[in-house]
Amino acid sequence: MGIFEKLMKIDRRYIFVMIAVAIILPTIYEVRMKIDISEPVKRIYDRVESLKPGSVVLISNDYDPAAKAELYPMTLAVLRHCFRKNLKVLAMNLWPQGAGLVRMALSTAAKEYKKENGSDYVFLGYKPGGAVVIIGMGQNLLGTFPKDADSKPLAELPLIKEKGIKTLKDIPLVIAIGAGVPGIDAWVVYGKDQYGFSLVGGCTGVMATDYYPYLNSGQLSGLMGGLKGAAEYETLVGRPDEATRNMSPQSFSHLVIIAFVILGNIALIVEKSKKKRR
Amino acid sequence: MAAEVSEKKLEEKKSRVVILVALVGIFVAVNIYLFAAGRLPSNFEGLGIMIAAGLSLAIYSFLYRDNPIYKFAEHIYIGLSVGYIIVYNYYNALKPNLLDKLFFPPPGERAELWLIVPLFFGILMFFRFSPKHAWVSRWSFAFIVGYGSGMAIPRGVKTMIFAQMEATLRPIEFFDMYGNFNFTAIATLIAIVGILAVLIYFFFSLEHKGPLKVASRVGVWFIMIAFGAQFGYTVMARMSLLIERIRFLLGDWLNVLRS
Amino acid sequence: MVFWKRTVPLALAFFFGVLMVVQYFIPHKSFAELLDTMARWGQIVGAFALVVGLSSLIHSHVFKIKRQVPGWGYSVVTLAALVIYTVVGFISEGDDSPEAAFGWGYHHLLMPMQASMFSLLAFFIASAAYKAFRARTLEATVLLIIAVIVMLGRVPIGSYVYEKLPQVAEWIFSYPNMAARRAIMLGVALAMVATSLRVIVGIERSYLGGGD
Repeated sequence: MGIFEKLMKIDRRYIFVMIAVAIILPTIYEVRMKIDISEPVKRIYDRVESLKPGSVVLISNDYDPAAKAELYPMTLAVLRHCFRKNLKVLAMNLWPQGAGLVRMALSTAAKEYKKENGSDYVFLGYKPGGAVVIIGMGQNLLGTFPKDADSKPLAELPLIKEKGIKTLKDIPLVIAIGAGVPGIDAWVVYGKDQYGFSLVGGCTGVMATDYYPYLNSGQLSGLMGGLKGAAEYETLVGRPDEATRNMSPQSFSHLVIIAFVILGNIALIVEKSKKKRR
Repeated sequence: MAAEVSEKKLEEKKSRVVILVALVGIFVAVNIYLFAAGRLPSNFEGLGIMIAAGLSLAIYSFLYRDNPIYKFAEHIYIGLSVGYIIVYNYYNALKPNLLDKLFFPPPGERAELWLIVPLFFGILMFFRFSPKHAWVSRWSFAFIVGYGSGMAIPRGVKTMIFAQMEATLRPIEFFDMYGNFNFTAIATLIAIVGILAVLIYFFFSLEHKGPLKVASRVGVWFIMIAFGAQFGYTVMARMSLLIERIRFLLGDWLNVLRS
Repeated sequence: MVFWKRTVPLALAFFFGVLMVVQYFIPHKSFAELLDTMARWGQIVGAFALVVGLSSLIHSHVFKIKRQVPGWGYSVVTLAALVIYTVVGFISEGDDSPEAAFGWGYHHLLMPMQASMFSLLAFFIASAAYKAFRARTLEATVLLIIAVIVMLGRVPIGSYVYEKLPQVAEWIFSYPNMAARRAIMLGVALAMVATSLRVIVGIERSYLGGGD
């Protein structure tokens, strides 16, 4: 057996160890690298910047802990940007298991910028149904969310009263951060077209390429894809956090994967040429 | 021969139990150190971090091979997951949107009696579990798929078909307002060719011969580019998930990270 | 009996389907109110659907325990975790802040386990990259080259390899990728509309389940 054949038959547990090492070392010994900003992420930042202080932004967090690594940093970075700009934030979930994460992000960002629950931000919580929740909010937000996530009647909260929010038409910008269905698609199909708000999105890396048609048609005004998208947003906001720090192990793990692909293909070529010779 | 094999298996099983006990022992020792050295707070949060780390490691034990510790963690996860959704669904949907409005309206407000209709459809669904009367649940599913389809048709056509076609058919501006050549026009042209080619590849049930063959081949190339892009992004996504967990284990649990 | 078992559900699907299509095109206030009502009904029925879906999972575990199917002990673990956590949830009144017992369970049990479970995929994609991603055909070669460009272009280290790599990756997403995705989206949308129409007119009946 040649060396390549041997290499190809290696127990996959060695590969597991290698990938773990490729992540552990650059996590401990972090290498700071310059983060390039891509156009779709910049567009989200600019859209948020263009809002006047006091404007209302809705952040729909349609994910669960399986996507926490990629999407939680996005939620946090966007919240920090909104609070820094003194925007009023409504946060919600279309996925039940994401609610705890949103509560965590809200309390972290609110503490940093000294924002009050009820007057500066409202956590609407979760409602089942996906598309019908969006349509319901478009027709009658208080009917869909009679109470906030802390069971306080929504109509009595200062933010809702002060801004006179009744439907999605009263909200200029929706930021949909989603990991699947229901998510960004539902906001495009059932919300954006009928209720007229600007829509920007954040999504997992797996889904990012799916949304470029919406970006091209203008149905989405901006897009953050995967952890790099979150790191770019952190950079734009000027608050580098977990996503930015994780770019170090992210970079090195990609190099290892590329090395694996190259090695595998060299073995293929060697194998083919051997067969030909035979 | 058979006795030899079974003896070997027994030996293997024994060595696996030894590994398991050793690993659990190391985990316990590490935690004792972490608490004693003050690296983990001696409160419910510290306890939570320790348990979270233990359960995460139990799940990673699957990488060595399928084992009872992994299975145990996996089944706890399923149970908790369902429990969480039941409780959250009750307090965030059924209670505020149905029960409070129908049976316990706030003082001064009337009960919204029309909510009996969705309650009725909701209850019918539970007939699914009766082999004899399962058909009753069909009414609820008919309601869901019926109105779901009715909502999807006009909105889907408008946002996923018309809006996409409109964006494709926008006039291409080859020159900007100063008369300079616009290079993105070429990219847009490439995209239009791609869209048509992929559509030909997908839709034409005619035999792909002559120009159709060329077009559908071009379509395949575009699909490969899209899948390649998605694959690259998927690698990124998967690595991100692991990085987050490793940061938790090294940072929150073992406390060896500087930031 | 066929009337109740088949005709009524088909009629319900037809009625609500047509109603929602018609509603979309009539900009009258009463039709807007109808949409509001239907959306609120939909949410409630959706909440029940979720519970029913989960109940079937409970059903299958109870079945495994009753029949003592191999590995039924794990079903006991699942049901015990479910019952305990649900009881804790109702005692905490659904409070998911980390200070409450229900929230503590979310932050220290559910969240880390779900995140860890999905992070296992990182190891498997690494192993697949080593053993399965082969450029056997020209098309597969294109796929691999693009994947490598994206892998480098979407991490900071990429711009140290070649300064313009992030822009190249973005160009790939925005033009050739977008083209293929749009064509796929059109296909999916057409299929979705066709299926929806078939449901409304009663040709597509799989939602009725088996039997008469």
